[in-house]
Amino acid sequence: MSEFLTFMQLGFLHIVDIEAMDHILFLVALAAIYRFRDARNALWVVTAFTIGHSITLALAVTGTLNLPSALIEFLIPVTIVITGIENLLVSDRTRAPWGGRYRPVFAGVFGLVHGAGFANYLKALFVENIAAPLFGFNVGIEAGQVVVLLAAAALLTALDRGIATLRLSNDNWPALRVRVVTVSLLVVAVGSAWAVERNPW
Amino acid sequence: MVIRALMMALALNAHPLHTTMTELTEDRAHGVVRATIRVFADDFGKARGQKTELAYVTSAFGFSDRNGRQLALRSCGTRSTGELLWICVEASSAEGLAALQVRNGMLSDLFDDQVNVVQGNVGGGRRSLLFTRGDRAKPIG
Repeated sequence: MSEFLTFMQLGFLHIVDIEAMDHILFLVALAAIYRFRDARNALWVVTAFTIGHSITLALAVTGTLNLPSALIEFLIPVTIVITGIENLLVSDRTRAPWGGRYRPVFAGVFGLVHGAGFANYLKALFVENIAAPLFGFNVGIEAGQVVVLLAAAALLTALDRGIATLRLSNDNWPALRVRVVTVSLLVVAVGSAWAVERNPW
Repeated sequence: MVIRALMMALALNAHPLHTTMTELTEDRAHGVVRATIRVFADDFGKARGQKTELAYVTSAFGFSDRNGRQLALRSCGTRSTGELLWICVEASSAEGLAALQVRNGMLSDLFDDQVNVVQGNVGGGRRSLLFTRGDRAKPIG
């Protein structure tokens, strides 16, 4: 197998791993507001996350940037909590600032934090010939994120059905809003617990 | 069910990367193939337990020839840099890497999601192999 494909597989396995729960939860928080017909917007947001992720990963692996891992480990759940809170606060996306188009920027900035999260591990392992492994790793992460996003979409659809069956929505609380609030409250709860646990101070 | 999922998520808050990197080289003049395995020292310590370093590496990593015969490994030294151990093992092989198979189950007994990458320059090209838990020996060349 080529070096590129090997590291692509490594990146893919890394992101679809159940132990990558912090990245998965962040993706779920990002995806919670979208329906299937918004797939293009969701993909933009996830791609922005990957770009952010790739930038810090590349900077850290090449030694250009050296970030304290305890602080990064703390900031990762903070990004999850902020995303969940943004979901809760913005009830009408059409009236959100810039028509809600700030989300890719927001995802990109948070991607910078997530990329730094495991850069220290990779920095130790990638000693020589960094370019092809790093590029492959990032492509694998992007592919893995698309898979996670599809799984999240399936789960969110199942949740929508549950909301419809239990008649939890009404004119004031449309089904999508009930879903967003439910998912975001869970995400904020888990992210907050992680942030407290990882508090470096 | 929601509570169980939450508890599971809380337990899985860390995001470790369970990977080792191995570089293969050969010294055709002396009939030796060599592997330098980069592994996180804390994980390696947990995996080997009471075994000697070489005994653990031999149980998890190895070269075999075309007939499936395992080549005897010997240590060619270990050094550490930061959190990493660089474990060197070698075996005698007149035919070199291109004729061999390699297996790498390092730390797979410890982590379900362990991924081991093996790389080397073989026959003028760069070869990369990826091993996950349960993988058998794979041809290098």
